[in-house]
Amino acid sequence: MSEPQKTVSAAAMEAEWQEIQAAQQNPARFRPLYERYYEPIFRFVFRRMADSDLSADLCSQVFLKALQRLESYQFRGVPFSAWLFRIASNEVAQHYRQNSQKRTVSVEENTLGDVAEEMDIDGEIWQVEDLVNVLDTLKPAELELIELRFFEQRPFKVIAEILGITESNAKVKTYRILERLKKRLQGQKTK
Amino acid sequence: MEKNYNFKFNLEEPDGDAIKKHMDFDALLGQFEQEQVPRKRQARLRRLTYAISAAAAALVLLLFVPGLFQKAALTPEDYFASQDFVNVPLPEMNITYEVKTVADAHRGGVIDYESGSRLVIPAAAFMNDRGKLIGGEVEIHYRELHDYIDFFVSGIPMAYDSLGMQRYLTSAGMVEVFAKQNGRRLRLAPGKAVQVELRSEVRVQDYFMLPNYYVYRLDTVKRSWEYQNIDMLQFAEEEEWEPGAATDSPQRRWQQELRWLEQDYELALQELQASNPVPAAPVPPRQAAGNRPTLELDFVNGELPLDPTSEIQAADLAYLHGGTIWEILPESPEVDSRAFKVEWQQVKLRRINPRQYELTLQHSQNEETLLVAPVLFGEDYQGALRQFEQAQAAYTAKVEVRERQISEARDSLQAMFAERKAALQESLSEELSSRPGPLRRKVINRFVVTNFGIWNCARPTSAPQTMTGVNYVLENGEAIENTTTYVVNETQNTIFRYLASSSAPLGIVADTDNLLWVVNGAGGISVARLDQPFLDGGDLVFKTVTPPVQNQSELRAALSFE
Repeated sequence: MSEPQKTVSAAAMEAEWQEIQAAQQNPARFRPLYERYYEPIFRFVFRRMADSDLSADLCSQVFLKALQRLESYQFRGVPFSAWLFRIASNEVAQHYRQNSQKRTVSVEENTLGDVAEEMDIDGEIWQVEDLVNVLDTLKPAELELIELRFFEQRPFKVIAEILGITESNAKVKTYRILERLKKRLQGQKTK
Repeated sequence: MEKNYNFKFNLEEPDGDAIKKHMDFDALLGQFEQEQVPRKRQARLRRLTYAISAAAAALVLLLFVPGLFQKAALTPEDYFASQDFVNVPLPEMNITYEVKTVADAHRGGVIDYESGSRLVIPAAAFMNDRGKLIGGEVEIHYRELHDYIDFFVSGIPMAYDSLGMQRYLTSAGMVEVFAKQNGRRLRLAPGKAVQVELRSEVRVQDYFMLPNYYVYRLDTVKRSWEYQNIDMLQFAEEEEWEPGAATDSPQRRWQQELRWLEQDYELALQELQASNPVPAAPVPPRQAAGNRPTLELDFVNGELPLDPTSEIQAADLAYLHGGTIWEILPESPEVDSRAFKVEWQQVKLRRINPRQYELTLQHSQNEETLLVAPVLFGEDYQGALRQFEQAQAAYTAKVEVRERQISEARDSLQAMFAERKAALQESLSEELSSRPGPLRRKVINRFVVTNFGIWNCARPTSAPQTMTGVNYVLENGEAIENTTTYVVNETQNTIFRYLASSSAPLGIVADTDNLLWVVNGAGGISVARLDQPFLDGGDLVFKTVTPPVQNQSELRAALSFE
């Protein structure tokens, strides 16, 4: 599988860091950042909510919290969007905790195929139901890692920033989860 | 079996326009600002609650604990902790930065200042706040701080914690340096250092003895001076320092006399060498190769005359042994065999080295140039070798004798020079020490800056003896309370800061004049002068400088010891 392309150039991050610093001085200067990232954040939330109005509400919360915490934001070599996704991820998790609902996970068949390919079970006969069954056994944090990496094709550096872990830790965790999924999948087949 | 997650396959996401309909930045900003106000109110309320609780607790303490009726005095520790660490008292008089540029940060550069100081910026030394190396033009902001007025107006503290002991730094000079590009501060890249040559003037005990200074960096986060290294100090040449200075100063006179003395010494050494020349070393004979063509030319007896313009004449060949012939060397130009049949009229000889010559055979219509060496055959060679060995032994003996004679004379000259130099030094030291005022010398402080900020060439000195019970008052009797008292003395290049309070300690250095001042509320200066230790407490009266000082030169005049 090729490296996801959702990367941002150093020059763009540099320019963005100036915008952030301006917004840190004056919240009204946050507008261009809001306009740039509203849609990606909305989609991020929507994929976990499957409800437009609810996603819009949560999206507003995400940006409000971003504004409130902007003063303490420090550049760490990853796009600003990663920081926003982190807030969004926390908001989504908090929503599900408060409402005791089942978390929505959006899956496309082709991205599910990526997971299978990464597990090296491409040549074997596998069914979507089998894969979904084993994904369903994962803990929320584990599933989120798979979701970010394979269903949303995000680079490990950004995933690490969203989840608040190191990049190498994100890689190690992902491949351990894949190993576990593979074993469970093979276990299901032999039954 | 019930699922843990709600998997949605190929979920249809809303399009961009539908998402944009939810966007409302103004509403978001309004909500943000609205929430900020209650937060501030809550904070105020919290502070008010704390204040009321604290007041109630204090009231209970005052009522029920005896001895607490008196107001708790402000301690110097609390007072200075509440102040900015670098606390500029008169911003309009602060030392300005000199801004020069490095044309290409990738290449670095050298910056010279009017003061004579210099910065050497290495290549690829700067990075931005995100750790990225940067190129292009970079501004270097630089200023020098030399004396207590500079330290005062720039608000730099001089207290130094040395292993838990309160000490002060007496300075040989200080610099502040930082870099900017497009208005943004830069950092020094890891492993890079700016070399600094800071010209300054220090007080010395002995005109010829370099004092010891060290290098400290001001850590404004830790609020302390941090030891970095030794200051590589050297005296600056007086004439280099002040080309227009008076020529009749004792220092100048000393330098002039020292220069003459050194010239005399050099001359005496040269004369010594010339009076006892090195004997000529014998040249070892060379045996003929046997397989090279040779020419039998006898110049010594005039068989073949030497051209009068020849570099070598017959007398120069007197050292050659009898039977010497000339062998054509392998590196010689090709020899035309017909040359051996020509009756050459005269020759020219040029010495390449004692064992190689350039021989030019001349005829009215022809000329042949060869590279040749004087060689000997058989018995002639053996005889010559014996003669050479004897001559060599005699030569070695002569050289040894000469070396002994020269060395004795040289040692005696050297001792005489050292003696005269010491006498000169002594006479200058005596002359200088008999003069009123401190002895000062220009120096060059050399050190490296590894982080931008304030760097001090200094040495620690003990904190002065302190006293309490001093009442700080203005000449009109008005009390001065809870402000900073600045104290300097004539012997140490530092500034002490104390809390003006009768319960707080005040340090005064004995045996020298002390100058104290406070900055009053209106930005004016009130000064007190102490020409003797103020040991018994009592009132310390400050006179307000009128009219108020407007610039640094007026400030210098107001805070001068004279």
